[in-house]
Amino acid sequence: MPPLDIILAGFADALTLWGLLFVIVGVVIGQIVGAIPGIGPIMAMAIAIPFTFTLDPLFAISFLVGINKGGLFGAAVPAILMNTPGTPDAAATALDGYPLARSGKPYKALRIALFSSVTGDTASDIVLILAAAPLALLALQAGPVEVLALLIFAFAVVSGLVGRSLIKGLIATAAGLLLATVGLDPEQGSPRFDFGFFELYDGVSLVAVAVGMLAFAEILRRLALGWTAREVARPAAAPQTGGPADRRVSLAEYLSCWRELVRGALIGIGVGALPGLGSTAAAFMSYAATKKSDPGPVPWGQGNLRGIAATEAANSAVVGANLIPLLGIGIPGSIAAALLISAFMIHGIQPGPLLFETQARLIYGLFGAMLMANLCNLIVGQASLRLWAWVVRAPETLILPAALLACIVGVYLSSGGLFGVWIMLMAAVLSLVMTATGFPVIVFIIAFFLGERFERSLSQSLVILNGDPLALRDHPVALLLLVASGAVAVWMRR
Amino acid sequence: MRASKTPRASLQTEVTTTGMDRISGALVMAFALGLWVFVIPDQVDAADYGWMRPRTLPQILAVTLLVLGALLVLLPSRDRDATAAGPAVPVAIGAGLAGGGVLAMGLWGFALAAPALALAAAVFAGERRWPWLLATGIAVPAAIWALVTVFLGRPLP
Repeated sequence: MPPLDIILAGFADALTLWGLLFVIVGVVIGQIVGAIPGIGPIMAMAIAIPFTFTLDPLFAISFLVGINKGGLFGAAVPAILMNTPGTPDAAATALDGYPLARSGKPYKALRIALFSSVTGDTASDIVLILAAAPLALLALQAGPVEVLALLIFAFAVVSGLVGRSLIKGLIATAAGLLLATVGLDPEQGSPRFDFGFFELYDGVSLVAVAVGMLAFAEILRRLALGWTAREVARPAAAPQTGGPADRRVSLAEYLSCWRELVRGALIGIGVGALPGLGSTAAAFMSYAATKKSDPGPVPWGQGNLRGIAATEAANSAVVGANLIPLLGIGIPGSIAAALLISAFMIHGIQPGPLLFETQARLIYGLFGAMLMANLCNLIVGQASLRLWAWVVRAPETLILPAALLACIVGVYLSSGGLFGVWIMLMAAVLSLVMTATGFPVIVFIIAFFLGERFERSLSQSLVILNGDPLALRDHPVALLLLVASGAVAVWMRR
Repeated sequence: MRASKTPRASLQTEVTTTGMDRISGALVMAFALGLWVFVIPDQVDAADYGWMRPRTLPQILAVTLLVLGALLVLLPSRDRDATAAGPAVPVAIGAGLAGGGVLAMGLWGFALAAPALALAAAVFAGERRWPWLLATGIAVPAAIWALVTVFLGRPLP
């Protein structure tokens, strides 16, 4: 654990006026983009990363965390009002949220979603703050052989969990690692796969790949859908017809959901700490667990407040827990965490266990910003419910061209030229091809982000083992992880 | 959705899906072979010392892709949603439009190319209302220009 004065200084760095401003702006943007079906916080984070290049690292990362946190609640708005989840994470929220809104109580449904989201998120952040540093301490005891085995284990888990085929997941992993080999070889400094372009000597830009595969591909897909459909029919938002009591959530109503909140938070934290699983899985798992209990006067699926609390607490609790493997061992557990890696890296910070030694103040500043973002999420959400009910009807024909230009400009700024923009375009096309053929894009990106570390660990391991696989007997933890990787692959084969 | 299909239609979908997976697997194998035979020798320096040579990891990955591609041919998955990436031809047109926009930005600069690209994207997405088209073609590029050049102090193409 870092000294207490460093921890307090980190929190103090976050709790400044500028820190608060960036968190609020992030939360507002997150709630807006979450409320617009099809945009979502991941696309917004990907687009925003290049624009944070000039900011202080703490403010930049706080801003991105604000977008992510705001986006998770924002996605519940169209799910509740129109039965159209802003992102897949909120799909389970629509099960009880939309019927409650249809019964004339949309604001009650939105408020319980907001309170549950903030509750789950805060619980998750507290676990992150308590768990990440000890995990990092443990990770620092590991040598290159153990790190290599851990990376292989993470690839096996992510390949098995994400997507519908383990083989396709492993192909995506290998392809991601292959893309990471572009650029100067880390051992001897000779260029690889540069095809005559000196711009590739530094490797393929992380930001260009992330923006291309996560944001630009989705923009192209939605533009094409608009072209095909000509006019996208949007259902009308459910109107508020109940009285003042039907707008509010009383303390008694909130406390009546305590079991769902606790269970949802625990499920979300557990799912978030594992690489590969995401908020959507946590929300549905929590809802399924809740449905086994007595629903009370309102049946499940017909506007039960506890159903909304269960899903929102779970999907939001994933956010903080996702950062446990990222900050503890340097492995991103989700796309949002992978995007945060690129944000760290464009500011010259290498994520991983060493962060708690070299950048402890920044990390505790980030924790402070995360807790502050939860409070901002609550306040902004409460104040803006009516506004977000209007935002859900925003025309895609205005938003998508703006996002398209923002992607191009953002990548141009981060890569310092149009070469990066062309890489982004190629990454977008690759992402669309992978999606159409069923290869998981998220696995590809995580492997690409970890590629450099993988090669370095492999190189060091070969030297330590002197090229002899039998020498692994002297590294029982690594051996155990490699056996576990094989077992995971066999268990998850589809 | 699948449950509503007739057994014959489901079987047909499954056969098509496994067929597509076999084609994907074969393409991965072809890529891996091409990588091993042509690309790595041409693009990566050979070195004959050290455990980790420049070609070591690319070669490991080429072999891995070859093996996994073969496994995909032999064991195709039965679940795939070809429509998940959107309608192919309009997506390709959209990508071409974006590529043209980037090319134009390199030739004539952001100030001329961005409004045209934003306007074209809005029309492509199905927008036909003049006020919205004007907002997209003028206000959006102007706002981005102001954000980048005035607030961030960075040049645009």
